Amino acid sequence: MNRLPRGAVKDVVLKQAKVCMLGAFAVGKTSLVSRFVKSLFSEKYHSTIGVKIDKKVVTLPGVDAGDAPREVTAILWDLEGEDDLVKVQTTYLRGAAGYLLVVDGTRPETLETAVVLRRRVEHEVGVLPFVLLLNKYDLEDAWQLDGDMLLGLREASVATFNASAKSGLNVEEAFDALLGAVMA
Amino acid sequence: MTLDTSPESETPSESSPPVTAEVEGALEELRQLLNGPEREEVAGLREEVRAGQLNAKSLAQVLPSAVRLSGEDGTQLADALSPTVDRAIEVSIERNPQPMIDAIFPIIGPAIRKAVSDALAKAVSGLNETLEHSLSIQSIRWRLEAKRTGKTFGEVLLLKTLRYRVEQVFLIHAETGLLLHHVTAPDVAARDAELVSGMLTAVTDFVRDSFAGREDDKGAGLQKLRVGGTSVWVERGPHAVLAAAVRGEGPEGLREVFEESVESVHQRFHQELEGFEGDNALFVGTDPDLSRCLVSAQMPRRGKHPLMRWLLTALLLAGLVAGVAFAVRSTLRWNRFVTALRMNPGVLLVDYNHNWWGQSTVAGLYDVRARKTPYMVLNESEVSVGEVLPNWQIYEKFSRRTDSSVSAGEAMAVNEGVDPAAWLKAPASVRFKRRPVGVSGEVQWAAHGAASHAWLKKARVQLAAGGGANGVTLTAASVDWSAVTDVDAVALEVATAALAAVEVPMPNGADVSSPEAQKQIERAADRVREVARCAAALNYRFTLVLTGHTDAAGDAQANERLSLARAEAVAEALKIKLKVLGERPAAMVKVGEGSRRPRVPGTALDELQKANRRVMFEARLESR
Repeated sequence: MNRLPRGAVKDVVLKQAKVCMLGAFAVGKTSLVSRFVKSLFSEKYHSTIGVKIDKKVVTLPGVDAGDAPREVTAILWDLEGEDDLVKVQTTYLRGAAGYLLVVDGTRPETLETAVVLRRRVEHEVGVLPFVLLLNKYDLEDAWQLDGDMLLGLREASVATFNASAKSGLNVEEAFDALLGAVMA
Repeated sequence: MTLDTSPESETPSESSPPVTAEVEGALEELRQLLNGPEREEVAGLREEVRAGQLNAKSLAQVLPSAVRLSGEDGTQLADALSPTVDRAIEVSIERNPQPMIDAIFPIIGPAIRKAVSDALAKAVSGLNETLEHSLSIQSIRWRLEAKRTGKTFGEVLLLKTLRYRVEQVFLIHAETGLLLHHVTAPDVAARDAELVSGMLTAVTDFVRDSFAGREDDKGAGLQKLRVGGTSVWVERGPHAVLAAAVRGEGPEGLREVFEESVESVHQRFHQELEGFEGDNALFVGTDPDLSRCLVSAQMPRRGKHPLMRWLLTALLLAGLVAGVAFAVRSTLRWNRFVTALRMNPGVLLVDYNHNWWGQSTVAGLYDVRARKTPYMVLNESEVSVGEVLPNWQIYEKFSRRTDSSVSAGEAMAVNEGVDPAAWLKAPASVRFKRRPVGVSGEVQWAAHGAASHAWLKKARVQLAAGGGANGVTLTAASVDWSAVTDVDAVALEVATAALAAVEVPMPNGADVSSPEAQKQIERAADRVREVARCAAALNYRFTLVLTGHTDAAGDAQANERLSLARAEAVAEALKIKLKVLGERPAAMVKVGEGSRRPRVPGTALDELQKANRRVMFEARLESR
């Protein structure tokens, strides 16, 4: 760190990271983050080029007690949802430091898609830390997730959260957990 | 050969003692016992060496490991092999180049394609600019400026055609699309650069994945995006991408600026780029590289110059109009002055020359008793006195007898009641004065003044016939005419002198087309007309002699021919001028004087010698 920007606050370490948001079609990825991130681009980018870039600044505690807090700018690549017709463009995964894997708790097939996506990430760019988000927690009564498959993902993940885009439950926590793992 | 075990050599010679043979046999047995197997092996080896089998077979076994070992030790083997390998390649290519071509093609093909397509892309986009600028006056000026300042024309073009502004420059990490550094031009409102950087990378990736079909296009990626008046230029390096937002029409030369910046960033931040882990603070030092790309400029300001040009043109035009007006006015005034002089009795204008910017000249004769002297005419005219350099001579004959003593006689004559003036119907310009009675006892009259030749002639005839009034008889002897000026004779004298003063300059051969020659011929025509008029009044036969002259250079005969040709050429031109004036052409004699009568001695400078190439005029007058 011999070249500190003139305006930078010295006791905060500034870092950036590219993180991706992956999940099946209509699992609520965009809704999950739209309340918590800074958006510049409109939704229609999804359908045109398959990705939308957002930004989220997360402040993490120092590595050891007494260290300066770390401020991380997450550049969030919200990739178009995958279904039978649309495949996630793997080029967009290049250079990612981690990802959020989103599953719709009410649709078991989205869990299968998540497993496929994770495999694809590992094939394309290698093993990356990820956080599993089980969305639509507000509709918990309707959850129908396969226990084994979920268990496998849950164990591989940095952390797994029950989340709700509606209430905003656990969204911040999910980001903190992912970036904490990325920056570790 | 200690190992020589062949049976032939074992056989002892006939002369050998039997004891020795015995010993030999024992020794041989011992040898056989001690190293029999080795001897056989050695014999076998020798056979192999002789047959050359060892080299190929066993070498093939050991060579790979030998080469490997040698490679680990250093470059000795490579050094030793390289000339042989070089030669082998040469021989191979000489014999059959095709395999080599096939091998190299996949490498060279894309390289050449890339080079050609880059060059073409640059050429095509540069073409418009070239067409636009190559033929204009401005481009010539720029080329001159390029020469003067030692820049290339391209650089000057870049500086001069600035119709754009590089508003933002992003340095983006190639792999992650994360922003490394970002600079903006002053007063540019930048949106969130980190997001733009990411989106730009996404768009670039998208375009490449969607449209770049060929494998070798993949590394190239998007080079330019255009949205309305703004374009984004993308210049990529191995680790970082530079994206510049350019408003307006950026010239293709900008690309080079961006290229240089990317190269410089890679050179200076190589390690930081390779080990990038999201810490963009490390790239603050790229600021100068990026800021260098913030080229901004306006269209060349055209407003100022046309105004200046208009002003200048207007001034010039005004000056021209004023000049013409001045010249016209000056000429008109001069012409009125000359006419006034001509019309003024008692003044004989001989020569004049009007000069707009210097002093004009007038020359002539005048009678002191004229009602208006030429000086008075000048004072009354619109021509200012300072402009004119006068050369007026008082005509001698006019003023010979102006002493007041004569007036007494004049009074007497009137008293006598004899008036020769009335009898002879004399013009007002002739006065008669009575003289004291001479020896003959007859009344003597002295006439003075000026009169036309025609009247004088008539008066003489009348007197010769005799006659009188009031009982006084007048005869030829009664009047002394010596003080009377024959106006026509004087005019002739003046006119001939004026004619002789005209010279037609002929610097080139017998060419009379030069303005100066034409002017002089016109002058000559005027004077010839005057001489002819006076000569007619005096009843003289007038012949115009034109004499051509040359300078001393060249052959005398040729000079004579040339001088005659000059005289003839001027004669022809003069005839035409006279015709225009409505004058009957005078009789003309053309003379070629060669260089016999130079105006400037032949030893003078060449430039002065020119004055010798001329045609001169002379009036030859004979009484009929």
